Amino acid sequence: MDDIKRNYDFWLTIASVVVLFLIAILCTASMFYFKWAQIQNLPAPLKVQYEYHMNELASPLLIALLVLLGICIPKRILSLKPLIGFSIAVILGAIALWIIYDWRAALLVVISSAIVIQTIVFWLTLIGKRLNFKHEGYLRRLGSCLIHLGLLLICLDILLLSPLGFLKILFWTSSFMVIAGLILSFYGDIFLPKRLL
Amino acid sequence: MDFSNLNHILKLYQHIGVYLIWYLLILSILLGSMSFYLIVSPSRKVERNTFWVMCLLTLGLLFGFGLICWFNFEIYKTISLKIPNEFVDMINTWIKQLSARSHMAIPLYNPLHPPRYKLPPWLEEERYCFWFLCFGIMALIAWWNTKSSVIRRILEVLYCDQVLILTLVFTTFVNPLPNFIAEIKPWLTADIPMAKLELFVRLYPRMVFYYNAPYMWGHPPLLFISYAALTVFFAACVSMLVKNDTESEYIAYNYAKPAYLCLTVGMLLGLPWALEAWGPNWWWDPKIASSIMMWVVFSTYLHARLYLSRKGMWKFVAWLGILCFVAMIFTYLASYFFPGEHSF
Repeated sequence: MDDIKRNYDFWLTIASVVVLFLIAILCTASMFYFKWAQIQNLPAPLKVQYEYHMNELASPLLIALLVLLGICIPKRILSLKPLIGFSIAVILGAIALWIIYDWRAALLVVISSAIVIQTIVFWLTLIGKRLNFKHEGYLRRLGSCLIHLGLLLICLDILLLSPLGFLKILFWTSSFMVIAGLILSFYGDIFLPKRLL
Repeated sequence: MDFSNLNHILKLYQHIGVYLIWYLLILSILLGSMSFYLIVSPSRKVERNTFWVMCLLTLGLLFGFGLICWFNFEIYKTISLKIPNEFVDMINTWIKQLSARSHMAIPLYNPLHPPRYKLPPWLEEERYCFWFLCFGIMALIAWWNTKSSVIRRILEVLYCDQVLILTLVFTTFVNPLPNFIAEIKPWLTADIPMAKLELFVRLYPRMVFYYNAPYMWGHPPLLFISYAALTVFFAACVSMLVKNDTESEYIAYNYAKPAYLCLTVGMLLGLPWALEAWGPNWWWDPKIASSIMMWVVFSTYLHARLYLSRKGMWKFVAWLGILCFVAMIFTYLASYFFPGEHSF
């Protein structure tokens, strides 16, 4: 327990790695099922039903990932105790919404809360506050924030998937954030000398 | 333009292509032999010459890529979907109806500038030339920048394998764009106006949504660049396991960065394209599922790498890197074995 308290950052990463692996396994399994059940030959309504069913299967993993992300993000601004309280509240809220409504509502709330917190983290990083980051350097931290905020916005965009104009703008904005974030994270040291990083 | 013009271009392409295949084949066998010799008995002189053979191979691929670009440009210059003037109004009414149903505005038919194919040089089997050329350039840079014999040998063997596959398995340089040519052949041979009209209705949407789609210039090439960088990254990850040195890790991460960046951007560009071309019902398509799987494995590598100095993480990270490469091969081959929108 002491080890977990001391190294919760590491264990959170390991937990994220496990969930990411499970998502990878689900994706692979879905491919074989698609071929076996000949989904491509099904009429459109049955195809939509299959997609809905697969989304339902994937959503607990996505929620788990988002909750972990939801813990990873506020860990930069909260200490351990309030962090645990916050995480439990998010998980309970998501379960309640799933029971009352459906997985879509649960996912929507988890993503939205993660976006709000990540926006705060992004703003604090932008103005130069020293937050709890694994990365060293201003540009790398800013890049990390942009990647995570961008990915959350893309998740929201995919969840609301429709050809509406607003979602198109949201998609391109979030894509730009992810790309800019990746460039800053990977190549931040090219833009600024090491002492300013 | 009739079919004989296309045949003339094709014959010239094939004539040059046969010489190129022999050139690449001989050099790749030479590279493989030299690499094998170096594994058995290391020699500085042979090692230096290996680099020059790799340079010559890359030049050959560059020439092949130029040949493909020339062929595609000839298609642009010579083939247009020109329909008789009396059908223009009817066709434009049909395009307007099609636009109303689609998520993308389809350009109307302009009789002064009939639509032409702007084929990118990574269609069908042409893609392997671009992909392996990208790998060749990256392998040369990595080879030059490292002293590690393990990384060098792996890069040489991978390069030799790729060129052998390109020359012996694929018909890139003797039979270019077989599917496209089969598609366009009826158009070039049809001489009845009604038949042309019918073919236009079939060919034009495919031209707009697939061949001439702006995303075609971003989505596939970025993925191929990513695959090429991932292959160099794989060589460095194997070296991490064999040699346990920080240089291998440094090279692995240096190639993981562009690979992940290009993979992410390439996949993101695929999303609006899929929405425009297929509508919303493509989610959980096998190729998309496997691409997400690959991206997820890659993200796992980048997260795990943050704790590289911890006990046991070195090997775990190296194995994750190798798994990324396996996931890439699986994702690529998925197009051949799994049905769906991306199947070849």
